[in-house]
Amino acid sequence: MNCTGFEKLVIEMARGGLTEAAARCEAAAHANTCARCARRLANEQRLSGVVAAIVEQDSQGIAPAAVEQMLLAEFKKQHAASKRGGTWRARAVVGAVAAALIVAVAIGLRRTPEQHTVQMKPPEAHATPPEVPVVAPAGRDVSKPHVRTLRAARRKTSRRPTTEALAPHQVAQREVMTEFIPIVYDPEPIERGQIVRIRLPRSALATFGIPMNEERAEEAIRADVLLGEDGLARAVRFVK
Amino acid sequence: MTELQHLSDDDLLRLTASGDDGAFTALYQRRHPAVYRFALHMSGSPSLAEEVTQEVFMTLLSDGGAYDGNRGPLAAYLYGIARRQVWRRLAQNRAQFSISGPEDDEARTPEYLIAPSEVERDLVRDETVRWLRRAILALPAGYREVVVLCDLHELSYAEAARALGCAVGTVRSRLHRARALLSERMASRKSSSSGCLV
Repeated sequence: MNCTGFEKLVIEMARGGLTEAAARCEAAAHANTCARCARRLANEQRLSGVVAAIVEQDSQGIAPAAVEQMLLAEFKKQHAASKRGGTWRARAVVGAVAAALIVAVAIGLRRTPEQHTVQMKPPEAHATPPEVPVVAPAGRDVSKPHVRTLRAARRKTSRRPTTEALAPHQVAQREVMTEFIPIVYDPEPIERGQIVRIRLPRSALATFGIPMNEERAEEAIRADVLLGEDGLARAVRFVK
Repeated sequence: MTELQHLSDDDLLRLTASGDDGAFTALYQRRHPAVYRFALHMSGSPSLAEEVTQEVFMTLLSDGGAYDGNRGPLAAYLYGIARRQVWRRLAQNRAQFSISGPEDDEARTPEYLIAPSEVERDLVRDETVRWLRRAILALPAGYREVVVLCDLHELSYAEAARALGCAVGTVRSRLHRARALLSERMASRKSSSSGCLV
């Protein structure tokens, strides 16, 4: 081994990291014959000794307890905030549903009852769908709710066959609906009513206890709102 | 707490994310000494080390999702954050922390670093330890951090490379150069001391 080769190994030798016995013996043999490399090894070994003393002195060094206390307080604050955020989100969903229903009600009130008549059975505990389902095309925004009366639907049916003219069992094949879910706990029986197709965030499903995919909570879903003669929303059903 | 101490870093981090303050405490107590000492060894400033420790764990709290266990252990991730924090603070306080050389810097040596030695009888050795602390602080930052990680924190080259985000060969060559500088300075100091004594 020459001085260049020794220089490559000297630090590992001094740090005790030269595990290869043959290389270690070769380097030691070179240090025995070269005064310069022997001094170099001695300096490195001395440095390693002082480094070890520093490691020993500092081994118990930790941050003051105040740092931990501050972090723990911040941790608790963050998690308390995130819990509040979750509650807030739930309230927001309920609020969104309520807002959508209010819009629907407002629109329903603007219409005259004579023009929008759907013969309805009074909604029971789980309101049943109207005898003749009125199906509106998808993609309508809540700002433009699609209100269609049975009479209007019949008029259109007589002119040309469309989706809306399909028999109930045919419609059912195309759209999957939940049953009407009462919105009010003790609904007044209604003789007539109307159905308004609206779009709601998918998260509204959870509000009514229907399982939903959390990852798709922001997507819109169609729903039919059943309005009573007084214009108040009585029940809602979700449409797929 | 005892049960938590047996959990891996990754498990503790998952529990922390779900709001378990016991898991966070266990994780902090396990990992903060290395972070604190790294910042202290890099800066020589206990107050800066406290700030960095706080900042590292705040980052972990707010951005724990950025940690990817497949890319390396949590310890390396924490060192990486600590390193960036130290560099940023040293850059901000360049005037305060610029180190011209170990001999000129005695007045600025923090009290913490001049810890009472358990071998006070060996005054020469104690003085050498204090000198070496200052000499390490005087190294260029790139060399300083490999000495801190590989020698003072006893990380392997691979672990240090993960923490620094560089190749193992880079760590090895920087350490070689840094130690050569330190041992040269130590040798010249020894010879000048000997000259004075004579």
